[in-house]
Amino acid sequence: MVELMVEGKRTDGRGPYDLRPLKLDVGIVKNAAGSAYIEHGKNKIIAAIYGPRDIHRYGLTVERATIRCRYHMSPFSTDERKAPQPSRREIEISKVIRDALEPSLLLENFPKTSIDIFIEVLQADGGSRSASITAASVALADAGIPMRDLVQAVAVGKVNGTLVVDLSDIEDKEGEADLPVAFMLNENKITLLQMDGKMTVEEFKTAINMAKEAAAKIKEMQKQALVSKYFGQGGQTR
Amino acid sequence: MNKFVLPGEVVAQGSYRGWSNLLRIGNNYIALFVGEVEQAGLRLRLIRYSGPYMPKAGDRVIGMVTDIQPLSLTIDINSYVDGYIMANSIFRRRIDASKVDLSKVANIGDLVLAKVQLTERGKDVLLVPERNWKISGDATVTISPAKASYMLRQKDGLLQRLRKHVRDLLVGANGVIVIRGEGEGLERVKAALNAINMAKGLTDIDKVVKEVLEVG
Amino acid sequence: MMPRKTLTISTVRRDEILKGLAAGKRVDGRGLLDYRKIEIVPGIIEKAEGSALVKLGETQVIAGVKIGLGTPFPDTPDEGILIVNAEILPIASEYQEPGPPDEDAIELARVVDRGIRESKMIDFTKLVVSPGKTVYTVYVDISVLGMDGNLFDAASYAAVAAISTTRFKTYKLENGSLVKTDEVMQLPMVDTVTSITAAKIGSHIVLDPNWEEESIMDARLTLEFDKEGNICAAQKGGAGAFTIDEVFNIVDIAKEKSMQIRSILEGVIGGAKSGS
Repeated sequence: MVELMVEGKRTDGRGPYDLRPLKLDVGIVKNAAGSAYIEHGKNKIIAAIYGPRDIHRYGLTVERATIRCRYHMSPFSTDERKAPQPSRREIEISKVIRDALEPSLLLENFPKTSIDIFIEVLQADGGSRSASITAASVALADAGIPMRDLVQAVAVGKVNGTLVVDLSDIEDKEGEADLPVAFMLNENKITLLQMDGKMTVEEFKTAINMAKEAAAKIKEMQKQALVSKYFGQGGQTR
Repeated sequence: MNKFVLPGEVVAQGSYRGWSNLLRIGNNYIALFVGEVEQAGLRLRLIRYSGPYMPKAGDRVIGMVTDIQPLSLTIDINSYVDGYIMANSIFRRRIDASKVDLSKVANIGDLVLAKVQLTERGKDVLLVPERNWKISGDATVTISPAKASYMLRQKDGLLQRLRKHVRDLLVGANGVIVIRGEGEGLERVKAALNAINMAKGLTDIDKVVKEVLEVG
Repeated sequence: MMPRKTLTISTVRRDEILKGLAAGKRVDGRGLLDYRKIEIVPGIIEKAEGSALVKLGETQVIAGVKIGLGTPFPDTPDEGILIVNAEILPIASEYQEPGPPDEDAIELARVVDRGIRESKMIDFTKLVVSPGKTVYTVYVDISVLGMDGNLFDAASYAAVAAISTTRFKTYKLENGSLVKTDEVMQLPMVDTVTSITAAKIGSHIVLDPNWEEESIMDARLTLEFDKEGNICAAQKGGAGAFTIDEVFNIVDIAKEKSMQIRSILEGVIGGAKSGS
């Protein structure tokens, strides 16, 4: 077993409840309707929104906008070069990210259109899907897609028997469990939930509550990023 | 002063008569956009800071011809739907389809000035051309629809101040702007519009325009 | 809004651009032969052996280098391998659909590849682990993040900066098998190829065209120069044609401009190397 927890400290010096450093910038791709860049741990991810746009496409929902989502990793984003074409993993993650964001959006105003969420992972670390969701939600707000709440995600895991938030790469790979969760905190709702590994039911419940607390911290950073783009110095939200 | 809000924030509680761009859940009114909230009596209105142009009947927009069909023009109005102009509204009479050729009156790429007449959910937007509907100009700039409608709302003369420097300045509610003018005045107005594009939200617009126009 | 394959600008905007060019000025305030501000950030992707982000105005390109092992080509048994791949990501513009590289992306990759290869900027004979059997493969992956014209130059600068600042752990043969060592090596660089792109718009020649200019240009010409000022790659594009005199004129202008751009590139590369 790999030693991931020594005297209450994790391999990178964090305690169980500490997040990795997180930085968010809004509006970094000029052509997009909305965009955001996130650095979370060693993750470096761009999310850009195009649309709503009229796309005459077979199978498009007529009553409301259709969300398309692409999560893609750059070939240089990982230790070993990744082939450029989307892997099965990337296709699954694209889908669960779409399902994590869609509950927050009001799509009835844009029938017969598509809203495209494009996510490019320039550098991958543990928790890239969570960081992608956090960034994409901010990008959607930047694009002015009507939204009932910001969505943010974080993984909780079990390493050497201890529950910890915001797994790093090694904790993800060597730990006993990985449980990424996304929230709409205002309504106390979960929009993404995946897990692999093993936890007791008690641990599982505790883990979700830990994720919720961490998500509240991330939400503050999302709001701060939007405030600094839109409200200038005069901007106070309350 | 209006209150700045972000999506998901509870803007107000209680019972209001009317609200826009807000979602009511129980007694809570939730912001759906980044913007500011204006309250007038029992009415709440969120003024969006971002997002696509949402066509509204009566808006005057500037669009670009992207396609010419036998009896209508397709117009890109910088929105999530296209606009279209019917041939009969161009010739102002009933049209015999075999006798008109719209490619004689319009080219792809032309800018046109038109009023939004009808918007129907899920359908292209019916536009009616203004009397001088084909616009010529010396420069064009596109700003966000939110900023354009802010400029159009300012009765105290943001537009007048800009117009002093050029012969004409047309602002479409959809964010497309056409300027007629030349020389130093034209450059100033272009610089001011670019500064508006860069400005954070709407709060800084008046300030940046003032700065650009007063330089030198 | 109907999706269009490429940017279409209004006739008012086209006339504005043309009128400006006639007066020697471009819509973004530049002179006809000026480049936009070039920003190069090497080492932006720590997990890659080499990387660089290049901003040319609002055009943003990132290049990453990964080093692998491969079998040499039969005709060059004692040389390492170069593989250049480019993608114009769907985040870059509303006209870019997700999917495998289209003809624009493939042309982009091939032109960048040609400049690197033909300038002989990398000494591939030093990238051999076991002659005839195992050599290093240099993968250069180019991702276009933001589209505002002149992808050729931006991609070339990103690739050159990434390659020139690459550091990787070497392999050695031990008892017939390959073992990764702790020894760090840089790619053996002998030149810095410098790409210059000109566009013909009406009767005017401009350098570093932005996207709006490209949407109304007649034709485009990319020339790549080595340190001695030799042309080592060229690519004409666009539906129009150049006169022979125009080509000669562009060659002279581009050669001079390449020296200026080269010094920017070499400055960034030198700075990154001494800083590491």
